[in-house]
Amino acid sequence: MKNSTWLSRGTPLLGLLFLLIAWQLLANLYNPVIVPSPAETARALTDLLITGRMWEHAGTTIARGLMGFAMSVIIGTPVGLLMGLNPVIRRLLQPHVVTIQVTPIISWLVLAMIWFGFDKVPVFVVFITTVPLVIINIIQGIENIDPQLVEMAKTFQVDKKSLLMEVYIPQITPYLFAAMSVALGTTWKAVAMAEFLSTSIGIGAGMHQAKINLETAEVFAWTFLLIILGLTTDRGLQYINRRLSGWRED
Amino acid sequence: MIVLKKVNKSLGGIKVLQNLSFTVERGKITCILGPSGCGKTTTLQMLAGLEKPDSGTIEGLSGVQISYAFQEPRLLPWKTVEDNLHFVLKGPIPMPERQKVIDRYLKLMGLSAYKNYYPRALSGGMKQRLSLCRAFAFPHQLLLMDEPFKSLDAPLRLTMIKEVTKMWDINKNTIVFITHDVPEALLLGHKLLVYSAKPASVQKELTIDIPHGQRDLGSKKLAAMYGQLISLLEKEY
Repeated sequence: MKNSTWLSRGTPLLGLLFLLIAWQLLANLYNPVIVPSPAETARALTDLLITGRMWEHAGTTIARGLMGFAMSVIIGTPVGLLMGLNPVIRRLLQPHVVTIQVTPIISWLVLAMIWFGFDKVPVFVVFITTVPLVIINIIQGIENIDPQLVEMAKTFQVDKKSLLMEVYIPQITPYLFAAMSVALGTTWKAVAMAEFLSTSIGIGAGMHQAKINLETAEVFAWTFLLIILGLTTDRGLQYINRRLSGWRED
Repeated sequence: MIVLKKVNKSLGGIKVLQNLSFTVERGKITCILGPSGCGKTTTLQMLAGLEKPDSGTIEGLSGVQISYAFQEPRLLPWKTVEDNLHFVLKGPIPMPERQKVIDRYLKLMGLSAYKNYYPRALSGGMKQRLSLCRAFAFPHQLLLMDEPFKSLDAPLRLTMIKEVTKMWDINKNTIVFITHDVPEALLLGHKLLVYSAKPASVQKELTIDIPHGQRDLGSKKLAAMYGQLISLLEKEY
């Protein structure tokens, strides 16, 4: 037993070690402008930290990402509920949701720059790319409800509020978390891309600056931060999900 | 007393019930026996007010509070044993009393120790017992039971029948119990209505006045009834 725990804990670390070695080998072969070494990347990261640029940019990025993400959950959940519960509303809104979903991000980005001015672009882009995910998942959650449970509640004359809060909401919760997990993954990618093209502050903007100055190590450092951001928020979400869904485990 | 007179009902163009007439007596268990898919559940749905007869009348239902035991347990998986009961009882019973009612019924069904368990941790029989708890605890003048033990194996079924008679001995409530299982009807019913095949009407009515505790399927009277009921039902297939 002890051995297998050691193995299961050690394997990912071993994988990371291989990655670092491969990275270092590539860095030895190429110019630092093409592939900076792990050490150079670490130095760039430290520089960002010491000069305070890291917090300035990353703080803004996090605020924008969470803002857009929160908007999509806060607006998408009731819209999804309404669409799932009411066939007329659903038929009315379905084409719009699908259209929003298939419209390329770059189109939203350009349109947002024209419509809102530059600083609101990342928030809008995150919102518009994640809200269809939330809506569609919530509808699916409602569709998959056991109709016998709803009939049971109605037979026992349970009021509408309890039906919503104690039957529909718990039913859609796992679907909402699944949507939020995918949406968070999209959030940090979308926010950085929007910042790259539209703003002067934020991780994306920092990458833009680094690209102009040919500071590839700094591009690597920003990327590293985005990955950490994605991993941390996903872990946090999973933790909350586990706390809320005790009924599914023993 | 609930009286059905010449009730006719078609569903999807198929005649399900034809000139159905019977009475449900207060404080008794009425068992409806019949082949599968003959309109037993439709009868129950009409008693519950979920379906209306095409013609004919049902009297004695106005203002009657109804409780229901389903074929399946139909428990909310995200609520504990206790909270599944709170969910349906919080409308009709206010709080300090509700907890007492819940505790009493959980104790009667031997589920007190499991009140904080989620349904997924319960066995099939325990889930069905909780579903019975819900049906009995929900304030009612009429309890409709739609083959609630259909999916249970024979020994568990017998245990559950005992649970129902135990509850009935305490509450003396009016029950309409649907089944296609002859022994179940013999052990539970005061009045047995045998349905014909579709379109259904009552082809035979039997009464059993032996108290539940003294019913023995091996006894001469019940064995004779068993034979009679089986041959009536066989005829309908």
